Amino acid sequence: MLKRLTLFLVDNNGRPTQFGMFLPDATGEAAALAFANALRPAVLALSSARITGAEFRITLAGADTRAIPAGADSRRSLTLFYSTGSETARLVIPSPVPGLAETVGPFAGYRVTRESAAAAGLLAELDAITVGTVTEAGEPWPGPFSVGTIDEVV
Amino acid sequence: MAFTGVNTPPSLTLSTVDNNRRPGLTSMYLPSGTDEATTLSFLNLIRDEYLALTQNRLIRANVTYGFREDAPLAVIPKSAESERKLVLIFDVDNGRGIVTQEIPSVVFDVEADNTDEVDPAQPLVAAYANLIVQGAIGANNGVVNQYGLQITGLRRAFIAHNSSNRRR
Repeated sequence: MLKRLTLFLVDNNGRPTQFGMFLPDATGEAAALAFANALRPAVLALSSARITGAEFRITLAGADTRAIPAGADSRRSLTLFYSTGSETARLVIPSPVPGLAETVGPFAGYRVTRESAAAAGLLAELDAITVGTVTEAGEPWPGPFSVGTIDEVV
Repeated sequence: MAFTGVNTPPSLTLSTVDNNRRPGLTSMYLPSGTDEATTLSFLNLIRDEYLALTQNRLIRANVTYGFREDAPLAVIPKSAESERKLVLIFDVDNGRGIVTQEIPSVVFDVEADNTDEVDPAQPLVAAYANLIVQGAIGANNGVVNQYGLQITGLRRAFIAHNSSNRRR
């Protein structure tokens, strides 16, 4: 896997800039943070820009050997909404598998409900995909999967 | 003053591609404090659920830990200019490759008169290069290149403007 540390800076004109480096494969998050803090004073001694943050990224190969169906299309996306009613968070999945959406009614082909997902045999996956994760705000998901939409960029 | 990773949720991004090589992304966040081993275990768990929902092929997964700057943003000198860079050229694997880094808005202290070249032994430059080569990442494990080969020394340093190929 590839491991990369990137430092973000800004100059007096508000121009953001960055530079990065690859770290050894055995580097964990704690070691990367310690290294970033060790680098920090040396970078600040060399640069009059100001550091605004850093990022440690681990990149893994997908190892997905499935053939891609002819109907796969990243311009189509499935937006899943997880809600308690007062709070909602969403997750986007590109090129959804066919058969998830309702087949009758005014939202046929567009709206994914718990019933239509169950009919496609994928309700468990839609509920499980958020387990162990949090929303962008770092909060627990507000509720189980409630509804989804299939959209297409023309 | 330091970086901190406290309360910054790491992000997990799954990169996919369709039959026409168009990219598709799904991003999600993990609880603050999730370590690398736990993250990788989770990725293997969620992979199957995710692949059941998309026709695209998964080509890459990125796990990103953001390190927040916990000190207030200090005054930025008017002379700070991102386009004026210190270009550092490092040897990889004892001369069998190179890695280039560009540090933006380089301080004037490292410059010498009438030249763009910077002495690699200049104290500020040497201190930085030593961290890159020796690292603080483990027993003599410093920074590596994209193939995992060790950076072994600073070959050359100079000042550049706008791009690493343009010189005063």
